[in-house]
Amino acid sequence: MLLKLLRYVIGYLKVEVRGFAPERLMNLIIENDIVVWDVEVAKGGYIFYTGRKNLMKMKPLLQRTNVKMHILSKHGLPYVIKRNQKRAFFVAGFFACGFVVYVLSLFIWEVKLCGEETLISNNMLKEIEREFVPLGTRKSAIDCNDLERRLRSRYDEIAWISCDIRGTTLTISLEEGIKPQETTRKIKSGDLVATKDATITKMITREGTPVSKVKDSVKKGDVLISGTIYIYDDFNEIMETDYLVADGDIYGTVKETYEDSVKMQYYSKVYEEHEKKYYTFFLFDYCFTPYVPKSFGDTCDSSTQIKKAKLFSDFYLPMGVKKTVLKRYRLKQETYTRQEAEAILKRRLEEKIKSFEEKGVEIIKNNVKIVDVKEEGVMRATGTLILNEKIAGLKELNPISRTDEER
Amino acid sequence: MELPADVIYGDVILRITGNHEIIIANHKGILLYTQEEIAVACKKFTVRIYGEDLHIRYFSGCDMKVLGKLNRIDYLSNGDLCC
Repeated sequence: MLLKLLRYVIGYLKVEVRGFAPERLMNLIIENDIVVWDVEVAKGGYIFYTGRKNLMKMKPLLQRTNVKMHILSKHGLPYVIKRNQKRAFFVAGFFACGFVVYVLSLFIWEVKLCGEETLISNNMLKEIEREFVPLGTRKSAIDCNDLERRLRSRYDEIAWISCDIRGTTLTISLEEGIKPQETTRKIKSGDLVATKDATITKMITREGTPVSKVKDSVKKGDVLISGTIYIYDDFNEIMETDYLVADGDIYGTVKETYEDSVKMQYYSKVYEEHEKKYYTFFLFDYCFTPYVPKSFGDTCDSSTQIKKAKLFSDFYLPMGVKKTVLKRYRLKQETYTRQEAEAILKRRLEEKIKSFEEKGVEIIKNNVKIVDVKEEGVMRATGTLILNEKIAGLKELNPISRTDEER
Repeated sequence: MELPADVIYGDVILRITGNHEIIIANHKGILLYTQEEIAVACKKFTVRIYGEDLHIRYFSGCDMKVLGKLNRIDYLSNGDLCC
């Protein structure tokens, strides 16, 4: 392989020798240490390969033996260069292009995010491109482990994350978990208070003094478990007061008012078949639009599709084309039928109930009713939902009130 | 001191692989080369190789490599090439 490469760089020829006693020429070639290879028998002579520079050495031998030589083909880099001398600019351009591609390959031109939907829909990708890895960052400047650590501390929802650089693409794969609750470690002492008006159904006290009990009706802000602990002496007098962070699970029934409405008359978009397209070419931050069609005004939807140029699957370049499609529409007034409006309201209510269930809230009673208010032209869903949910929230003990109490 | 015969007498060395390759070292030149027959001059005699589709892969002043289907190898005294 190395020998072949060397021969290609130096250049070699395929020649045919003919005449009286070509064997004599071959023996002279051996004597003069001229390297030849792949010797084949031809009609009245031989065909073989030899180096470019050996041709000059062979000339006197050919004259001595009276053998004629014909060059059949020329191979190697010197001949390629000679053949393409007229195309010098093309070759220079080819190498310049290769150099530019190499330079571009040193930077990140695409950030991909794989994982759950919630964070991605929260514009995580834009935030990453803005704060962590702006497009055009040098690949050597990115430490994947450090980036993973920074992203994990920025987004609490991330359960698992992996960053990987391939080509000019940074791929961030992540799994979303449940956002951890705000830590209470910084709070030195606090009470658990009711966050809503409710009737307590279940109470588990882990730390603190329970103030309320099951079946008590509490109002928002009432203390449920106190973080103050009194230590009494033998005479039933307060000997010492201790403050800690109250902890426990308190569930209560809560009345939640539900109200939703659907207007019977609504406007829908009726798209026209005619649409306008235009293309924008971009290179880094520079854009060029050769032709922009006349706008339809306010009554049109526009959608843009960005297509980045890439050499291979993960080798994106900072250039591409944006295709914008303008679709004209007209507004048409329509009216929901009673069944349609009811279906919309029911669907929204089901979604609300589902979101409660996902939070671990139990629905005890559902009193929501759908009423058709013809005078106002709306269909309304009103009523109450009786829920059984956690009603306790931590409230820090005021240091001033603590000192007053101590006095 | 024992020296190999090729060094002392300038003997030819033939290294044959199966019936498809032969390397001839210490030769003195090619006398005849066709697809069926190759005659190589050595110091004391001539080596004559018979076969089919014979061709020289490479050759230099000291050795040569012949590929093809080898059928027979004869040793002839110098001057007996035409028999």
